[in-house]
Amino acid sequence: MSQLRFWSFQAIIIFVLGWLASNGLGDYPQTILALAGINIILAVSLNLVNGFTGQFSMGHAGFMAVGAYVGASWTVYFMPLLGTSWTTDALLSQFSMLSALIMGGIVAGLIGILVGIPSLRLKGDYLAIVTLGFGEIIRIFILNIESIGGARGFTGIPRIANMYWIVGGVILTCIFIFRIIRSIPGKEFMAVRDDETATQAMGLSTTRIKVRSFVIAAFFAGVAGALFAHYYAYLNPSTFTFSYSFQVIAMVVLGGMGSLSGSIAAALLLTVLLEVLREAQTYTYYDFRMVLYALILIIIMLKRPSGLFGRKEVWTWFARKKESA
Amino acid sequence: MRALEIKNLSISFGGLKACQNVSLHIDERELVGLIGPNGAGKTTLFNLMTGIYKPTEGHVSICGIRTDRMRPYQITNECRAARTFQNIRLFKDLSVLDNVLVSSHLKVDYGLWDVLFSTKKRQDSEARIEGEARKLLDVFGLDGKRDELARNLPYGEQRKLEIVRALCTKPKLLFLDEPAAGMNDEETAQLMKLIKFIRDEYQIGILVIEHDMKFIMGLCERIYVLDHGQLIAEGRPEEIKKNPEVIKAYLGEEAA
Amino acid sequence: MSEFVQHIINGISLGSVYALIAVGYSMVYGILQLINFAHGDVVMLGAVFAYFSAKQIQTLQPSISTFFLILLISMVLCAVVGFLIERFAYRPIRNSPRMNCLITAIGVSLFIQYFTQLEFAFGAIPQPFPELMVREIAFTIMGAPVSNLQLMVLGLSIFFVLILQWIVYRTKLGKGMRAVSESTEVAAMLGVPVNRVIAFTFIIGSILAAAAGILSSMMYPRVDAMMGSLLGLKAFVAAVLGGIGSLPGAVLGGVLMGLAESLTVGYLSSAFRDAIAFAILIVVLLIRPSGLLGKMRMEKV
Repeated sequence: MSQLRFWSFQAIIIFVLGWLASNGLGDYPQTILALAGINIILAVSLNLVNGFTGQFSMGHAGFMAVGAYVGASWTVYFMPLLGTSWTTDALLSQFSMLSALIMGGIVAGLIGILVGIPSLRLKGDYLAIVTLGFGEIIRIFILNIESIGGARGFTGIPRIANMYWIVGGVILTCIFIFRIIRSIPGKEFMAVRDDETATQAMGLSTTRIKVRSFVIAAFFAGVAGALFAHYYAYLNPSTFTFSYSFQVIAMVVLGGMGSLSGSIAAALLLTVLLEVLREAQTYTYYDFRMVLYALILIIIMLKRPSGLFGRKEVWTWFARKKESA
Repeated sequence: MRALEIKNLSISFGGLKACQNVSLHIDERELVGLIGPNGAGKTTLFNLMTGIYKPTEGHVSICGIRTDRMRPYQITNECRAARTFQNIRLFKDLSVLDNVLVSSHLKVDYGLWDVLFSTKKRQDSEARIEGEARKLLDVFGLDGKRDELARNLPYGEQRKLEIVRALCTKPKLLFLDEPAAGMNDEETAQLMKLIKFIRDEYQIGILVIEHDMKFIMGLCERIYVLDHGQLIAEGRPEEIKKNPEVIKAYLGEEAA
Repeated sequence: MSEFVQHIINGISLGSVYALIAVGYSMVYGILQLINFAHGDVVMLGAVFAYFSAKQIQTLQPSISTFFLILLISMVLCAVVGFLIERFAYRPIRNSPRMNCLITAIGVSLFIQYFTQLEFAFGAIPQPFPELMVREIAFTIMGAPVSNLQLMVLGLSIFFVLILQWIVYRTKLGKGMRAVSESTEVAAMLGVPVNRVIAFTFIIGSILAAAAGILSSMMYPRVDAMMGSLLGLKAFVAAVLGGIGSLPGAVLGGVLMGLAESLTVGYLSSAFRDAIAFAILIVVLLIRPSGLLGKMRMEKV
């Protein structure tokens, strides 16, 4: 299938799904789906680092925060310099949204380089802790900048991310990351995961490969953040804590570290589960849900650490069924 | 200019002198063997030559370039030296073909944009690279199993795959660490033919560590003997066979 | 000048608490190569158990003996918790890849935190910690007051560290601990009861954690379900700073962290109180990951 036909087809899918999501659902289910979409982008991008490259990053929420605040600053402070209609006019604001996403992603990616280069020389536990530390530092940094709201939060963000944008973001993220994984440079990520010494011996700089996966993941996390900012029209640093990073890690682990379809399924599942539990919350003043989240994670680790799909994609499971049939 | 030149190489781990004052060389397209009793320091020497360890004294030059301060991946890329490992280090969860494609990275001439948008350039490049990889696999009889996971291959084929993978980096110098380990006589004989073929076909210098004497004697043009980190003999197979120092190292005082 | 001395005194007190917690991290990392994320939460549980016991025993008057009674109760309860965590969460995954162990540890940590936050347990609202001792100024150094609590903190910490030294270097159990930290397999082959040694390590760590939790809550009189994560993280940085796996390193790191925090709050700004810990962590990991007293390990190829 030629690329032109492929992308036209994708555009149609995005418009159809976007329309369905915007008009076929009640308000509340729509917000759940929006959050699920954002989480899918986060989970799929994190899987690139944790699952496919085998590096344990625990600071993903930090990159999301960067993208969110940069994207929001872009539409709130910069776009109005081009004229107020850029954020209010139905057609022009689409450009604002697109540029906000790109800006959010790029800056997040740059921060990814900044964090990644020193951190990715470390292994395993140390890398995990350092990324956790950086995630928190980013959040504390944002907390102390008054012009983007600080502790009170960033208000006044135009609500220009509708379901079309979120569906589009999800589909594009999945396509891009899938293509990256399938390409020859993409296999280098998995080589690093399997055996770093051998990868080095084959003439590949493992640090460069790890930073590459880290930066790509940071970019998409930034995009997710920008979508988040323009859907909820409000940002608060307390959203982007380690707790959120942990939720994304849970999604990646549950779906299977190394399975993109697993991340998509798990992100959907856990986002919906969390919302459903919110209804069932009669016992607690705070988060029964997080207790359950933690418990689910522990049980997966004990009983089925490979998650739902392990390292395979859901379609290989179908293919095998066909073979044995 | 020699393919490999080592002068006065030494390394100590704490108090243990793993290599002492070793000097050796390989000319282009030579088939050289490195033997010695267990623990003599052969793999340590390999690791020194491929940048995994840094020597405490002496230096290594590959194709005229000083390598003892370089990282392993730089040595492979810039000096065109590739290696296999004593305990097979294949990418176990990747397929046979993927193992080989990873080391074909030098042939990749497209970038991120081409990958994301699946441009003609990427499609053509990947088809070409894959075609070349499969041809190479075919030479070694592995093309039929190209989609198998590397971990599922029988032992002998895993060792062959490791060699093929190293070849995809287009080396001028190849280090083989016990390539015949665990093979029976028939497989060993096949491997000998294969290695000679590699040297002739791809014009590569090869340094082999092995314990199988028939293999080494039948394959190599020159042999170095290492014992307790020091070079105790060098020469053609016939000379080495009769060298009393060598016999002493392997069999003890009395046999000599 | 007396202000500076005050900061030093505060720093040493705080540092002693960090040291008690850091020792637990170092011990577990030394024998299992696992960062026990749940350790900080056991510290929190120490304070919570003390809170509940103090509330239960209503006839208690603040005094030294009250303090020791509550301390004892809390230490026993935390020892049990530590044992259970190791037995049911960590032992099953002992031979799994490192990432799995890390995720499990994080899971246990968050589970404890959020469970404690539930209304029927402790609740989400921070509570004031009951007075266990009568506070008074013991003496002053260059004009800076030293309270009896601060003396108690320092004294208890020194006491515990000395006991630990004795255990690790003068008992059979300690020998077992040192053996397992070199190589679990070889220790097992030589007849060391590995499971028992590991369980005991967790128990010791949890006992110290309980003490640290109570002392901390007495110094900053507050208990809340989330206090463990920050305390734990700072103590973990202390362990890394000193060299993770090294007991003297943990103590040194703890004291240094306490001093750093105290001086930062005193001379820079209290906004950076927590940030200094992250900053130190990143600097240590990037410049010298083995810490001040730790050893570098080489991988065999």
